[in-house]
Amino acid sequence: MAQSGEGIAVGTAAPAVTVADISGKAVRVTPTIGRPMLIEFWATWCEFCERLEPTMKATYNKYGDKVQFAAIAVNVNQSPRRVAKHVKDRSLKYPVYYDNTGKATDAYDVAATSFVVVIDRKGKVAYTGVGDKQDLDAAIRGVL
Amino acid sequence: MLKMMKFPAIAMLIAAPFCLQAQGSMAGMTMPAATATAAPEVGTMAPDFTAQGADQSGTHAVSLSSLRGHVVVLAFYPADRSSGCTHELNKFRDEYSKIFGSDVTVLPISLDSLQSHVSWAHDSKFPFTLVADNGGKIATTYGSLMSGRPYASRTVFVIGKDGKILSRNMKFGALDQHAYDDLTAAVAKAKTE
Repeated sequence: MAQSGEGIAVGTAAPAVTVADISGKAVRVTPTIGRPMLIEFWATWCEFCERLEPTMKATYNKYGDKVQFAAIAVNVNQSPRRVAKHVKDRSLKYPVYYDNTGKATDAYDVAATSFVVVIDRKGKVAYTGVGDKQDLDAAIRGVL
Repeated sequence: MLKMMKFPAIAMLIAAPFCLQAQGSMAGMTMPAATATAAPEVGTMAPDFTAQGADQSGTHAVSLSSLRGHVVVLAFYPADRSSGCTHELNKFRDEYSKIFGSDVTVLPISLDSLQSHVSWAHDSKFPFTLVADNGGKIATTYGSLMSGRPYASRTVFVIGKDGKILSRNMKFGALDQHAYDDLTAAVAKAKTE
């Protein structure tokens, strides 16, 4: 595994993490064997996340029935309330969570918002990337 | 509102993946030959160093021992202008009075060149000095050099007025508010000791 906030390494087992949904209820985000998963770590203040949002929406619309999605908002410089407002204002359909303890960010060694992790059917990290120009379609096709 | 990534987008596109995924050597930088060293323990004297640093006014030498009598926050980070590091140092800048307050010397430190530090300190108007750890010797001494890679890992040491390490975080979460809260508390405590 990469060290000190440089992103979970491709090929490692994706950890299960406990986060909160936008109502504040604890939720366990767990990679499911047999079903790929896409996790985005994001923030309302992240410009790259904003520019990646259309890609996230399109990817969810195309693969949402085959792939688990989790958009985990980091807990720095934003509140759960603000995240909830963003979800409503942007009509986000994919599941959005809030990393209230910071443990999800830590478990995935996230150094930057807009960090996306794609997990394969075996629960292993198959793709990581950051920025607004990620080819998430290709990343998903690689694990289907 | 704090905005991440205030530098040009093109720089970010280059730097962000670099911070996350770079392997091997960085252009223009020699891979440190040093092997992993254990970080100094809390309660021990912080290893002294002298290095060049850069702030908005230019460059100058930084000697840890010359700061005796002040609380010092030594913050290792992987790379200038990379995404997580930009977020961390921007937050240090924007919330300086809340996190650090007065009578604290904040020294972010990386293996980037002094020239890189000069540019970033100027562009971002940091209210602290960026220390250039040429070759990674200081990071090695503080157990903060990534294994086999020419980057410091993201760690933070709070050093007391007597030069002893009062707290350390060997995996500082740049995107975790708790890390900043813990640092704020550690700095406040250090001022009272």
